[in-house]
Amino acid sequence: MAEPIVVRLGGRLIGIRADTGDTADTLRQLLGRYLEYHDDVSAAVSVRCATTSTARGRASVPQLLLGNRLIARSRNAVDVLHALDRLLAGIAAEAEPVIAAPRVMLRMIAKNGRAVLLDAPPAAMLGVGQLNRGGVREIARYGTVVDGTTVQPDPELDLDWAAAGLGAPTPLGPMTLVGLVALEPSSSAGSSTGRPPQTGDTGETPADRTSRFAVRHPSPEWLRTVAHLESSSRIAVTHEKAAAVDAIVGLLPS
Amino acid sequence: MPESAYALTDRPRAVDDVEIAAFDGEIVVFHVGPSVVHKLPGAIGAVWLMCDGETTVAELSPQLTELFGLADDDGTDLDQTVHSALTQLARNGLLAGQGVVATRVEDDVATRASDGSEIFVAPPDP
Repeated sequence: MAEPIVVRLGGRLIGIRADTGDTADTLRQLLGRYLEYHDDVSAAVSVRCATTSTARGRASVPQLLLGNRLIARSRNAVDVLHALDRLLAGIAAEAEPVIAAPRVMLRMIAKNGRAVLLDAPPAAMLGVGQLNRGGVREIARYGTVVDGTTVQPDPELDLDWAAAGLGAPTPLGPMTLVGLVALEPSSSAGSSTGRPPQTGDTGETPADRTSRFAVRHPSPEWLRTVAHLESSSRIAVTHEKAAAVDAIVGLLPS
Repeated sequence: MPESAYALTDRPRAVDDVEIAAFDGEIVVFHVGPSVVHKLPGAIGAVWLMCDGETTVAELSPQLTELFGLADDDGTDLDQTVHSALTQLARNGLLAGQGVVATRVEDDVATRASDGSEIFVAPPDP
């Protein structure tokens, strides 16, 4: 297996594994100004740009992993590379934060300058098609910096998209955090009721919902943000994937 | 009065490095020092809120009734409720000068390359 590509960002060395030589070449073109040679840095990030067929005839699409955690997956490899850009930007900013605000390790779903943070397993893709039809999209990145109820973008990296012959991702601006959604693992007794999603349909109290999100980043600032959203009935916890999708769409403006 | 780490004349005081979110009948407390989130239901939260360093333990039961409407219920002695609450609060480090303060243990995942540079390690799954 080829040695990981190593970049220095935010004063830290980050190993990136590529699935093929072509992917590695693309990464070197993109990351040129950040590249360094080290033979003792393990890969923390894995990039797959090729689409391959498995033994069962299924397609394995391009994807981005942080450790064992799936960050992004798309039939379009450029989407994965855009996610890599944001992921690395977040890792760099974590080491050298620009503003003193919590970075919460939750997934971000956004539309029209507004964002919902999602607590769900990385593999729970929530039926992306349902969200995309409404103009909603998940923005894969390394956590989310939340300043009050403003989601702050990370400072952009200077990747060489032109050298790689690819288009750069659309820059992210500040967004308004409008809600939190959690997809709990299904209980053995759980079943789809078909009824509309409601806050607390898992039987949780306001304090339950607040504390479950507060522990994701213990800080007084984050607790204030979560409590504010709970008091505005903008936190939903559900066992049902479809209900989580409905909750996200309901929290984001049409 | 049931046996307690507190005498009736003691005036327990809640720790003050906290952020609080209050809801109907429950409070969520972030304790800054050890960086821990606590959810305090019902009477426990009420007792904690009354631990102002001036109210004696003997005064807590009557004030629970007066301020929060709590009363002996189904044979549950309110004094026992106060004793139990103080014990739990002290154990969780939420009373000044009492109990074992819970601390978060940060895993030291930083590793170094041969040139001394820090190597980024993927965080564990939440």
